[in-house]
Formats: sequence, structure tokens, C-alpha cells
Amino acid sequence: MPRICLLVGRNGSLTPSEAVAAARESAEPVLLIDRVEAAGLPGLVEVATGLAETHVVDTSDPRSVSALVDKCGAAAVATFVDAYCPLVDDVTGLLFGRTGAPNRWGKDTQRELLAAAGVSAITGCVASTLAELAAAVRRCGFPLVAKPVRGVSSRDAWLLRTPTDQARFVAAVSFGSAEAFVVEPYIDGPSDHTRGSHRADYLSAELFVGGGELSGFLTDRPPLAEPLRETGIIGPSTVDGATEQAVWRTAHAAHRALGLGSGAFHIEIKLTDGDPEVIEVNGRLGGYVRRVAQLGTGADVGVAAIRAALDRPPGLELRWQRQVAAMLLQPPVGAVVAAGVPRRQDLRLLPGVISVEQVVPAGTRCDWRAGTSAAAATLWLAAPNDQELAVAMCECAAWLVDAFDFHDANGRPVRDDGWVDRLSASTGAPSGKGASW
Amino acid sequence: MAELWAEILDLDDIEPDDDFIEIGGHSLLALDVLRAVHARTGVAVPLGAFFDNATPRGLVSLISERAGAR
Repeated sequence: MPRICLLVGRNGSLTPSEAVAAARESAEPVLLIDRVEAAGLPGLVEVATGLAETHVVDTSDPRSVSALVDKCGAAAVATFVDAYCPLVDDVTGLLFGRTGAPNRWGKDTQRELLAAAGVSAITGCVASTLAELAAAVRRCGFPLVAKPVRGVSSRDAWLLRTPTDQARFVAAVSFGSAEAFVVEPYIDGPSDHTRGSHRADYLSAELFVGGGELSGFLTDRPPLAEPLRETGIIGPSTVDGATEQAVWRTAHAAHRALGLGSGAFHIEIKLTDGDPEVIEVNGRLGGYVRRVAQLGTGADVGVAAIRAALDRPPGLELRWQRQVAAMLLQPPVGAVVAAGVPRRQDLRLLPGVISVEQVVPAGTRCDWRAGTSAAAATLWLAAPNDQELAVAMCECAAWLVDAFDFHDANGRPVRDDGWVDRLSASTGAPSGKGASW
Repeated sequence: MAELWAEILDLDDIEPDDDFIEIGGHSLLALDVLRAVHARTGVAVPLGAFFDNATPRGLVSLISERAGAR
């Protein structure tokens, strides 16, 4: 059985234990942990060591990592952690001679490559000075998105609609003194929101490439929480056949444009009045995707991801038995603390809820700029069909907004009823406001 | 076992077939569970074996197997 080196960490779309379980069918896993992360979280090394052969590495030094991977005799190296995708590229290039477009995981370079290949109509730019930002605003116009070039999970992702937003952004991030931002136009959705019976704000394509085969599946994404934070995932996608084909054409074209080879990729795509538009391409399986597929089909798509990383046919066969969703409750933009939170056992009783993955303790500090990963609660729902799931999601959303007590910096309650309304409008289900059980 | 899990996961009620991950557990908390199990029973359960059937019932079964094998 071949060996595969897996770069693991705290924030991956598969945990170390899930990655090892997925790898066992096809290969002997060897876990690599960054030394800085290991020092900050000693339990991580203990967990990894309990699962498989583990090495602590310096991920800032691709040559040393390559040497270790070579010494391990691994046939491939892969990761489920965004931050390590560039390192996987470097090691793969050094050891196996497979290279693609350099720096393709940087948001700026990625957008350039997609635009140059005609895959994306969006052109953005990098701004690290006020003058560059002003030029970007003139070029892109409002509304526009500003996000860190190396950002992940919507950390510090801003939606600027007006010059006032722009000024607020500049002040808040101390613009010009720290990291550079990619600035690009905000992608509008289709003017007809029910186009293609689509219930979502945007979609994600999980693309598996290996052994000469391409396969994958789509999931829907409900409306974001202000400004650009994810609120969940729904599987399987409800998009109609023609739209699905268009989405896959775009996803495959993005794969080619970035010079991606074998592996599993997460491609976020927005439907527009024209061709589907790429939001972002990630070099690993999407967050929550594995569990959505497992709950909905019983299959572990991590297995397909590992096969793809080994350049073998992914063997992806999904038979959806039910509609599944993860719901993330994001604190309102003005919130600084979750002053009051419901009991976990009450969340488990909500319509459609099959699992409560996490709920923050009362008193947890909130900061929207921390991005998607700072959700106050994560619930898993299931239903026999998408209509029933939509109703359950809307009822849950309304209940969550009522049950959580977020406060702003002045101690005043803040809530985001707009999220409930957007979810209802997107899914076509009643908003759930006023319901009680 | 359910009481131990409830204590570590800070939950009020645990069912025998509750999946550890699905009720909010993760790898690091799993280590806490296995350390507590070892401290109370003297039986060491590997992390990988735990995740193959991560329920209170499954863990009790693992402990019994390993205790009987000694």
C-alpha cells in the first residue's frame, strides 16, 4: 500500500482523525504538523501520534518538508487545510515534478489567471496603499469586496457599498500598515432568484480529479451573514440540470486555468444573469462537505479525496437519501459578546435538527472580522426533501435569532433579522418568525 | 460512561449510542475521555480504535475487550 503524507492542523475541512480514516482505504497515512501549531497546541501532536506516524515539520521551509516526504517514501502529499495548499504545490513540484501556475492560491493571482483564461469576468487588484485603494474603487465601482490576499474563512472580508463604508474599512484595518487586500467587484446574483429552481445564494462544486477521471458534486450555500460570512451548506444542490451543467463547465474551466492536476478541489460559484462566475477556488475539500455527504448518503468523500491525491480514479458514487444542511449562526456585525445563549438540549429539539455541533458559552466575545469560523452555533439538519428542509431552516433561523442575546459595545442588544428574511426569500419558505413550539 | 462523557462534554444527558462527534466532541476532548478511562480502569484505548465506534456503548465494549485480553 502506498504512503501518503497529510499536512494536518487545527483548521481543516477534515480533522486528523477523519483524514486518517479516509486514507486507510487507499494508503498508509503519515501526518505532518507544523512546528508552530504543534507548540501552540500540544494536544494536536498527541492526537496525531495516536492515529498514525507523525512528524513535526517547518512548513515555512518547503525543501525540508520535501526531504521528509521523500524519506517517508510517500507517493503523494495532500492537505485539507487551506494554509498548506501552497506548500503541497511546492513539495509536489520539488518531489514529483508536477507544477501548475505559481502562486495560484493567492486571491490576486488566482483572479488574474481566471480572467486571462476567460473563465471569469471579474477583474480585481491588490491594494496596499490608500492611493491603490482609491484607484481600485474607481476601477471596480461599488459595491465591491475587499479581503486579505492570504485570508481564509472570510476573515476580515469587507463589503463596501459606499464611500462611508470605504472610510470605515480604512480606519478599521489600519489600511496600509499591515496586509494587502484584494479588491474586486461584488458579484450580483441572478435578477430572477428562482432561476433553475435554485434555493441558494451561491453554490460549491467539489471536484475530484485523479486517474484520468473527473467527478464531483454540488452543494448549495444559503445567504451570507453581513458582510460576507457563511451561514451554512445544503446538500444535495437543488439546481436544475441545465444550470448544473453550466456550473460544471465553469468549474472544469477554472481547474484548467489554474493548471491544477489531481486532487480534490472546492470551487465556489455564483449564478449570474450570464455565465456562472467563480468566487474562489481552494486546493482542498470544502468545509462541512464531508459531513454533509456522510449524513446525506452514508459515503465518506474523504476517501475519494485521498484517491484523487494519489492520482487514482476517485470512485465517487453518491446516492442521496435525504436533504442535509449545516446552519451556522453568525453574531450580528455590531455584537461584541454573546451575553445569553440557549441550552444545547433546547437546540436539539428544534425542527429538523439532528445534531448540535457546537454552541458558544455565554459571555463569549464576538468579532465579525474573525470571519466564518467564529459562528456562535452550528446545527445539523435533515429532511426528506428540500422543501421541508427549507421550512425547518427558516424556523430554526428565526428561533436562533430570538434565543441568542448578543450585545454591542454599549451593552445594547443587537440582532440580525435581515438574515432570517434573506433565508426565507432565498428558499421560498415562510420566515418562521413568530412560530413557537 | 455516559456520566463521564457528560462531564467532559459539558452536556446534561448522553445516550448510549450518541456519536461523540455529533454531540460536539472532537479529537482533543477524545483524549480527555481516554485519559479519564485509563485513570479509572487502567485500560488504555487507542484513539483510532475509539473513533471506529465513538459511542459510550462502543467505548465500554472496547474497554471490556481489552480488559479481558490482559
